[in-house]
Amino acid sequence: MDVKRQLETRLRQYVLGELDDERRVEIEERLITDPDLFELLGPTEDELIEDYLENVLTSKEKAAFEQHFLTNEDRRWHLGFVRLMKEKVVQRPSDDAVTDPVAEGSSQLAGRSESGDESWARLARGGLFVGHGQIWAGALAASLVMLLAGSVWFVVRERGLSNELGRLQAEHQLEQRERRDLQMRLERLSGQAQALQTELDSERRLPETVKATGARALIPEALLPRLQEPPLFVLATGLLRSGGSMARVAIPVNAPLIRLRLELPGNEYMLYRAVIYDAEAQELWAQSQLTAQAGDGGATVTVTVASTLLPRGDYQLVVSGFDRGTQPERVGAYTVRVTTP
Amino acid sequence: MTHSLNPEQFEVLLKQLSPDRDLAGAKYEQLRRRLVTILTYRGCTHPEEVADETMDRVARRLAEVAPGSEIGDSTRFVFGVAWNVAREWIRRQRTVPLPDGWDAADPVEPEMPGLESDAGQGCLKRCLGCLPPQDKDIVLTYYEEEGLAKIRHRAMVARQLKISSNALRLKIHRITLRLRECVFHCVDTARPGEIGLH
Repeated sequence: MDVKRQLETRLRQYVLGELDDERRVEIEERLITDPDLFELLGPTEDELIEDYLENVLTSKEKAAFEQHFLTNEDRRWHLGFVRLMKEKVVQRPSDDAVTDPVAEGSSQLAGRSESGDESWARLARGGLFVGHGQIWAGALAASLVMLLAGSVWFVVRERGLSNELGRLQAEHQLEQRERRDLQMRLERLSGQAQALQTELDSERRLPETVKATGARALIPEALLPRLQEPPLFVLATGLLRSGGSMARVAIPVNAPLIRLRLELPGNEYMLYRAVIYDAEAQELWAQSQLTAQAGDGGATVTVTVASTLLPRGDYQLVVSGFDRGTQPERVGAYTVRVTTP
Repeated sequence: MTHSLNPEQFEVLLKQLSPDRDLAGAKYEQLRRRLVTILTYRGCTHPEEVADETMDRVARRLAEVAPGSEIGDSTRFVFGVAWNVAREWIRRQRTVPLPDGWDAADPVEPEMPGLESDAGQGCLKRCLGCLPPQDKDIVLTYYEEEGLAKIRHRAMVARQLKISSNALRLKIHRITLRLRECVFHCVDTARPGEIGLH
């Protein structure tokens, strides 16, 4: 039971993009090779969609759901469909009302019980005891009445107990789920606290001399390791503004992230998408749902990427613009050579 | 560089999946669907193409295995090879997740014009009408409650149907997938009279 619940939690984390790389690969392997687990993925997605629509996700889960799951049109369509289903059920008019399977089940049970009564009545009427005294007939009738009353009592009691059991099971399930959610939240918060502590420690260790001695002036802006923000490189279509005609980016060794500000020829689209290709035109990285910022020099889109993604070599960035429901159109291409500082 | 698959290699793949050609085809589609799902989760922008390419590579790899080799459960073997090939693609992507808070993209409010309109409700009503009555009952009953009441309500529905909660979840998922396809087709063609469940 625990293993099953653990798997469900793991799947939920997978859908939200909350798993580390090792666990993610592990679950993906099982999704490919284990048909039972793959079967559970769809219902897990459905439930997260419902939780999202009912606004019961935490703000972090909500953000993860939007940024990790609602990334393609098909899934957004499915979300719209589930919303439609839920609205339909709320608006369900009486003429559209359908037979409740619960009620149907009950009526079938009732039907069986009636036919049972009929057979008993037939038996009693059928002359089995013809020729015997009235006293036997009376005794039989009394026994039947008592038997029926007893059966009814047992059925009612069993149903009551069964409902009670169901209620308790549901409550238990709910408590387990809340406990699991709290545990997950706690783990996330302690992770964040740890990250903040690490950041604070490294900030404390930052040599004040860099600023005090004016050494900053000797180091190009793009090479200065900054704790608050990753180094920023501004790219114009086809070349690097700061690097003249050479589109070169020197990533500082101790910068885990870099920012690339991509200048756009205009700002005609609601959203933008940036893709980085390597020298063999293999897609390395992509980010959608970017919005342009207007500035003095025109519109720009800024992306943040991990430095490890871009070892020494040549890359091409392509930016496409699109409005909702339209096909993306290419608006800019930027050729970059990554060098060591 | 990849080169196209030849018919012999494709046949080897199908035979490994099952000696029955129809069953092999079904398993092929199953595997392909799982690959598309994983690739989509990996942010692949064209998962169908990559899945096809993966399947081609699986077929080529299988053709290299000496005929008559002892490979045990052949379906599992094929799925394992597919996973290895897919992993190569995943490794090539080298996607590194960004820390929280960096340049977070604006969330997009899902907006599906066809579904928001009356046409969406009309199509749903028609598609529900195409379902077997019991499936229609179950799916509408399933979505009746929200929040805490939802869990109890669904547990009760599962008990009444004499199936486990998981089996009910799967059943609802399958029904809603069929319904969804029907509604999509209906809204897309805007000819609700001609729709039906497939």
